[in-house]
Amino acid sequence: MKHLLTLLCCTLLLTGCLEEECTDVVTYTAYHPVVLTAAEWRSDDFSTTVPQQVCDPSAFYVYGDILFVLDRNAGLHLIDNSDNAAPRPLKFMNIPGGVGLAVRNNILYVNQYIDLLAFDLSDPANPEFLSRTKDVFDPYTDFAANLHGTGDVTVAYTEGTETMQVDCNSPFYGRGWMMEDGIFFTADRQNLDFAMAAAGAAGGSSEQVGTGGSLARFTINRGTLYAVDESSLRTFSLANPTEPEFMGITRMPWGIETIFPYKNMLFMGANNGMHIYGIDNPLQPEYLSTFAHVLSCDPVVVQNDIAYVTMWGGADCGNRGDQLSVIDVSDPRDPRALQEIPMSNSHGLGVDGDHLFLCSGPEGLKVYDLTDDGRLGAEVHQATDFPAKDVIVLPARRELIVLGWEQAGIRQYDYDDTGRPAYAADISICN
Amino acid sequence: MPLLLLVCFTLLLPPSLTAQQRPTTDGPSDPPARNWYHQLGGSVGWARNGNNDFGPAVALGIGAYYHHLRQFGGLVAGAGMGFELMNADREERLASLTALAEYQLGKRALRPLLRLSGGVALPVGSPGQSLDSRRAGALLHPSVGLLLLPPSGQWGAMVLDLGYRFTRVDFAAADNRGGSFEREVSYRRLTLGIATRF
Repeated sequence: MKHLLTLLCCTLLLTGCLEEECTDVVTYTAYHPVVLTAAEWRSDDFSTTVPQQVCDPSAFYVYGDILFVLDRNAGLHLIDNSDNAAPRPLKFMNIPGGVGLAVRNNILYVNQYIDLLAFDLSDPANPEFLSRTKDVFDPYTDFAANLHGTGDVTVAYTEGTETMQVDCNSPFYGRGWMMEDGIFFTADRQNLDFAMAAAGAAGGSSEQVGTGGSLARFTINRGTLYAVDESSLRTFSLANPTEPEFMGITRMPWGIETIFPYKNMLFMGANNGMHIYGIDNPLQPEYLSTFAHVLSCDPVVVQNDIAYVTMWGGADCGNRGDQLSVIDVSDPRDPRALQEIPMSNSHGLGVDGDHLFLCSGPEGLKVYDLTDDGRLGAEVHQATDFPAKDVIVLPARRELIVLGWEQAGIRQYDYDDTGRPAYAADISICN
Repeated sequence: MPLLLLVCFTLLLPPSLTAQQRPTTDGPSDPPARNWYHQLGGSVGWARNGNNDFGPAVALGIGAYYHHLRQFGGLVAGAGMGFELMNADREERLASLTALAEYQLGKRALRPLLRLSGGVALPVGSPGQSLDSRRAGALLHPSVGLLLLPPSGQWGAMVLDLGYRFTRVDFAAADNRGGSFEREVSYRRLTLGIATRF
């Protein structure tokens, strides 16, 4: 009898007669994707001419008197920064998808998702579109995180209320958000922000080109444009500056974050170390060495054969503490640690002679002395009034342009012989 | 099929378990000399409830019931109430009002029975689930079972039953995200019950 009952129970359990039905009618905040088709974003129409307010700055770059600010998923602001106490908007270029930029000889190079664009900046108030080099970056990387396989891209979400039926037994139900038919449903906007979190930083510096921050993903060195995503270095020949030519990909370990040019080398900041590549042949970067460290987020800058690497261990960066490393790279095939200084909150950084400017997030901007041999000395100044993420140092003008965390905007400082920063102006952001 | 199994099982019982061989005064399996009975029982119910990582998920519920019954020869009819925890994860509980009709086969001390119970069920909420609104739904519960009578003149019979309990209810409640939902749920349970009748 017991076996018969067991058999009967199993039989019934395998049938649909015992399948419970539970349906909830729920009201969600629904976010419908705003999709730009490949044809739309490749229309080569960048003509939104009226200067607009910066809303979500993700990267910045300086060329001459022009400050470029990339607005995430919107476009590029050109700002006349000849007087850093009174920056004046010049132009807004409608380039959604821009993540990295660099300028050389009056030609601006900026990515648009997976394409590379070139503009003539002879008249900065009216940049002239020169060329589009298609499909030179990969989708799903830092350059095109929201690009679909079809080439369409999600640029924003519109918010609305929607009632829908949900199976109470769905494993996705009750998690606070769910995705169905491309629509993101959530009770909390923060869930969408988390899901959409897209990386983006830009900059770069060298030779007769402009200057970027330490979180750059673009740089120009020896007449060649380099761009890094999470796992590769892409090389573009600028032999014909109006039409950059994609030369190839150098595969790298996962976790590449920044690129910095120094002499005939490229220094890549990665989340597990600093990689050095030689560019004696600019079109064929040669791996020289890696200075390995614990998992962390770390930009790198170099001066006088000394590399300064910040290693931030917060959030997604390994949670392994925080420090600034000073590394002797006089022999780029054998970098040697000179100092490892514990820090509390280190991010982007820049150097000018005997001063190092360190962005410390909510602790603001810190200024350290550098000794004659390049080691880190005492902290001599701190500007605590602005949450600093990255900095462009302009030694010739003794100016600092500081990119703020989140939507803090951009703050500019002058600095004196001692490195003391003095407030100059803010570039505020829209509400 | 289950009924056939139970009938066959009963007919194959050894004589020592049948009432005819017992020394009785009122007859082999006669109930006490009254027509009204109380029945108090409980049941466990199983159902498939979607899938988890390891295959079909199972929902388990328990319930307790009381019925007031009247015997009409081989027929029994009555009404009663119950309380059920239908889904512990979702904290769903029901109260029910049911009518019951039962047909007993034979006169033995251990006799098969067929039963149909039906009525209405009402969500009652729980400490973790405050209901905004609710609506009573239908309940239907056919089952087969065995009635085990005590020696004649003694107190309390035992009933075992195997059934299929269908209940459908609607209710609205607040969720844990500050919103609310309206739920329609159809419980389909294989039940195993035990009760005492006195």
